[in-house]
Amino acid sequence: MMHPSFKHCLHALKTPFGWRELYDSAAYCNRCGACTQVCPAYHLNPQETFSPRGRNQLLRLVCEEKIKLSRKQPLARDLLISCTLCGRCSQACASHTPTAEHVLEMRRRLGLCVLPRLLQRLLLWRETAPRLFAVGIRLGLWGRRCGLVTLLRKSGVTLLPGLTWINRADELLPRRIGRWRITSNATDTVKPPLIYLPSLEAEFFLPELASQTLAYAQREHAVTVWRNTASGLFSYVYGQLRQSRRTLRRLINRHAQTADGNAPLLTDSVDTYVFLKRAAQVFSGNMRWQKRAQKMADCVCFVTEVMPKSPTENKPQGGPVRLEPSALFDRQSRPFTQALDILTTFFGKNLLQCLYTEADIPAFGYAFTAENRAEQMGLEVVRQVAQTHTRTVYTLSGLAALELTYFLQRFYPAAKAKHLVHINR
Amino acid sequence: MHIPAEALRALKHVLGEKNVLCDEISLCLNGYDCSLSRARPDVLLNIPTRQQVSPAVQILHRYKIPFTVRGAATNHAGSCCPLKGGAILNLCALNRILQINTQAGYAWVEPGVITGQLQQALQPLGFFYAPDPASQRVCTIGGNIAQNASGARCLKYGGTLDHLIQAEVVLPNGDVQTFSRTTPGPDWLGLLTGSEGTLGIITQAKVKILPLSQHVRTFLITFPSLQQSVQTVTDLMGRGVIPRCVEAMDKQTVLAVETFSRAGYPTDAEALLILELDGPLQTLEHEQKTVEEICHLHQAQHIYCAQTEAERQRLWAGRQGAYSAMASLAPNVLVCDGTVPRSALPDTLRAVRKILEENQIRASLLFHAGDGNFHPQLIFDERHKTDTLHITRTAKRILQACVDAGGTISGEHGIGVEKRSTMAYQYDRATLHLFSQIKHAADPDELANPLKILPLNYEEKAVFPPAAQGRLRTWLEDFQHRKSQGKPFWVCGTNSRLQTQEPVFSTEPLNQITDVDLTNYTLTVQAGVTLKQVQQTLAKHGVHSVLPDEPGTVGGAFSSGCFPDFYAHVTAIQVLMPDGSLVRYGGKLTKNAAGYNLIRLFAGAQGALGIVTELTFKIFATPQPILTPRKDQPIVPNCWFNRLKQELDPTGLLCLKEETR
Repeated sequence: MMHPSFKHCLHALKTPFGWRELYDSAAYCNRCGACTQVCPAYHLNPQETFSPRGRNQLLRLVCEEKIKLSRKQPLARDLLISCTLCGRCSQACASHTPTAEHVLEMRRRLGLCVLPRLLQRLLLWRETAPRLFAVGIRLGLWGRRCGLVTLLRKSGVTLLPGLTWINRADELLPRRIGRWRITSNATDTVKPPLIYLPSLEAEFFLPELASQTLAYAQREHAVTVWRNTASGLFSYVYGQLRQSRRTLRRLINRHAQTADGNAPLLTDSVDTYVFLKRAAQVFSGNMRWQKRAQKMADCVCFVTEVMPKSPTENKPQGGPVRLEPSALFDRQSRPFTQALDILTTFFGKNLLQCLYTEADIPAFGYAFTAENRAEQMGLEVVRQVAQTHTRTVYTLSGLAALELTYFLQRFYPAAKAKHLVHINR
Repeated sequence: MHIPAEALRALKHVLGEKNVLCDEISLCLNGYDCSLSRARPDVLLNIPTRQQVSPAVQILHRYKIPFTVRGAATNHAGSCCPLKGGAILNLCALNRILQINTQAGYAWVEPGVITGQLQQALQPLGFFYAPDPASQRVCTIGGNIAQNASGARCLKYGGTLDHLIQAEVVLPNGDVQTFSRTTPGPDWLGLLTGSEGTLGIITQAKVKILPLSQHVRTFLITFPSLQQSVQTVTDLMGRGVIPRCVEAMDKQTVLAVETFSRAGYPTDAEALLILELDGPLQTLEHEQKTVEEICHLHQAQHIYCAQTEAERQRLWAGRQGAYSAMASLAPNVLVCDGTVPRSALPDTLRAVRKILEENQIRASLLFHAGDGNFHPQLIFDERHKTDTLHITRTAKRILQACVDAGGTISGEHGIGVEKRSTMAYQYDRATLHLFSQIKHAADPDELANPLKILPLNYEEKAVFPPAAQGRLRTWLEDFQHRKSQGKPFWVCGTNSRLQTQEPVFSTEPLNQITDVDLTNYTLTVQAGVTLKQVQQTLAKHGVHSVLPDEPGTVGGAFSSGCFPDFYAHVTAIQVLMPDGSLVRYGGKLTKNAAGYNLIRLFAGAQGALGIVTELTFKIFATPQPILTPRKDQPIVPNCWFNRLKQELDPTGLLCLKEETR
């Protein structure tokens, strides 16, 4: 199973306790089981095989060559796909074992394609051919407005294997998509401008998210918008590490050429934030690029940095609110504490403290990799929202807001989900 | 081992195709737990409902396939490790809380319910489930029962054993049996608790729930020496203050914790206590004053009481971070578990530190100061065989130090496979043989979790028992004489309950009070000591017990089954077996998870399985509610009783009380 080349896999992983080689990293799992009960995939399928501990042990057995994996084994495929990459297990683990990274490495080394191939190819265009991608998305949205997708659904084409994602995408994406109104206003050359890197969803499906983020950023900064610019996260998560490195290099070069590489890099998606903060890991084994990636990572900031920390006018009214901490790899970094602080200031006692063990929306594209499970997990979140009579659920990424909105509209319309930047609306 | 195709077909028929797995990945990932042991099962059975456990076990029994039950597999003893291969029964899907009855104070749960989830369900109702193992967020109730798990709150509320009321058990042959505390006869639930799945599979359990304390006070106290910290706890208990929990660490552990988590612990002290009181506000105020007074008496350096919930959490964060501090330093952490009488704790801890230094091992040292249970956490890398061997040898030396101090090799983690060889440090041949007989009686085919608890070749390795002295020796000679006559007899004390003219063998000659320990608060007496004698002795020392001032002997009070609540107070027993051997179990200990619980086996057995000759039980500094005797009831022999009787007393030397009628 092991891929011979480090071109396609990582040398080492960056953990809170320093760099660790893959085998070392897996060996730090002491099998205490603290991770099992926080894993949403394990909750749906309470078997060791689907637990973070099981995944770590599997990697270890593979490294020790005691077991052979191949992508033809249905169980291997299932257990690797079932991981949501949410990183709650690492948070629960005393030695912060990065199970999500282990799963990604196993996926890469198996050459496992977890997304439907057509969707993966289309989405990869964002990194390889961004203009073509933008045209493709606009064409798709235009076709959807013209009823093309409805026609496909009615004709049963979307039920064909490999095309079911069209159904899901149609359900998740908002019915009405507005237009971008604000552009860069960077004229001040004295201070390094703030670079806004809109996420995929803000760029194409949620322009109001981009507009609001820009509006906040432009209150204090001159802002340059890097439109249709990929971060490399997609190819990192979906198996193409070389492409991820290429995309990241492009971004690092472009950033280095802007204001001597000191310009803050703003993102509205917590997934992108977490990924860019750990960009050095992508270049493990390459010191030069590691340093450059780290320099860029130090400039990355989340939208909570530019948001007002307290309500400008009256405090927003309404029932209980909660924060949906859905993210890739991590739930403990700065944006989460900042978001909680902001919500506490805005809503006081109306902010419900989510319990650590509570479910959240699966991270980043899980709806397309494991449709059935995503549905069950979504329902679990809705159940918790309904149990606490929550009226508004705030998320830190547009994608999570879209997914949660879909489930809430279906099962608990009394509540709504929105990105934190819309706190004043 | 090879699983016959027919057996697999039958199992698939019962459990469904997708719940019987034989693929390489499933098998490799279900043969470990939190210990160092690993083994590969031959088939994984995911049990979807509790009604399917019995038919599945019946099939396994029919084809003589060994099986091991698995819950969350968070134990440190290797209890979930399928040493003989066979089947793994995954009970994690049996995770429903079936009923919560706050009025009667109990909850019915399935074995896969997570302990923390039960707590969460009870909290809004103003109740809680007292056993609180450190892993309660992930461990299951079934696992807790199997290991007799307990946690920090054990000192005041007791362990899992004390909170189990009733259980439905699937026996190794697939029969379903319900065991209850109210049934006359031996406390089968007590025997089952801590048996590590070697006697049967719990499919549902009725557990005690208690009203939640509204008020809690948490203190951080530091002392210039370990001795003073332990003496403080002893004095507190002497004044009738029983803290909800008393967690402690030595200086080196405090330093490690502070470096890692910056919990704000003072680093200038030799010992640090985190002490928590709960109860009504008025009592708390009084107890707080007593705590402060006694701490000052023992030259406490800092006494800090958390004022808010956030402060309280911060104090606990350091204690909980001790494991993380170690886990960040090396891939593996071996959490040892030993218990000694509280009075022996300072000396034992010093001995343990010495062992660790001699072996150049980095470890933190946490202990529950109230019950003498301590947990050295040794770090190592299990990928290095010599390193692992060195660590396991050191751990064994630590356990030997516990036994030398009158303690036990396990307070709450169980034996499993990791500690089975060290059972021979603690128990003599007769006791180990009795464990083996219990296992054989309940599971003659050795199918349920085989090769656990008992050391291999124990007959050669077991410690030598001390020779019987004085009156016991004469009495034993008398017993041998009666035995040689071959006539069955009834065992009695003063014959106040049995009241029979039939041939009896009395324990009356055994009437010595062996030990009054005012440090560990225990009383050791021979079985023939009368309850009146006990009261006189306690009055002389100004201490109290739960036993009433009634006719009869202590042995009778324990064996007759009239005082079932007394069993929880007994910490050690010595029993004469029908074959003439003397079995010793327990010590001056609050908890003991090493081997089957023999106290509960002989409690209420009315002398039909063995004759209790000596007992150690808890005494108290303050008056306790006196137990009222239950109506004398004859034992209703169940399958376990009959098989055990056959195994332990095949000639029927010791008669059952019902036989007199």
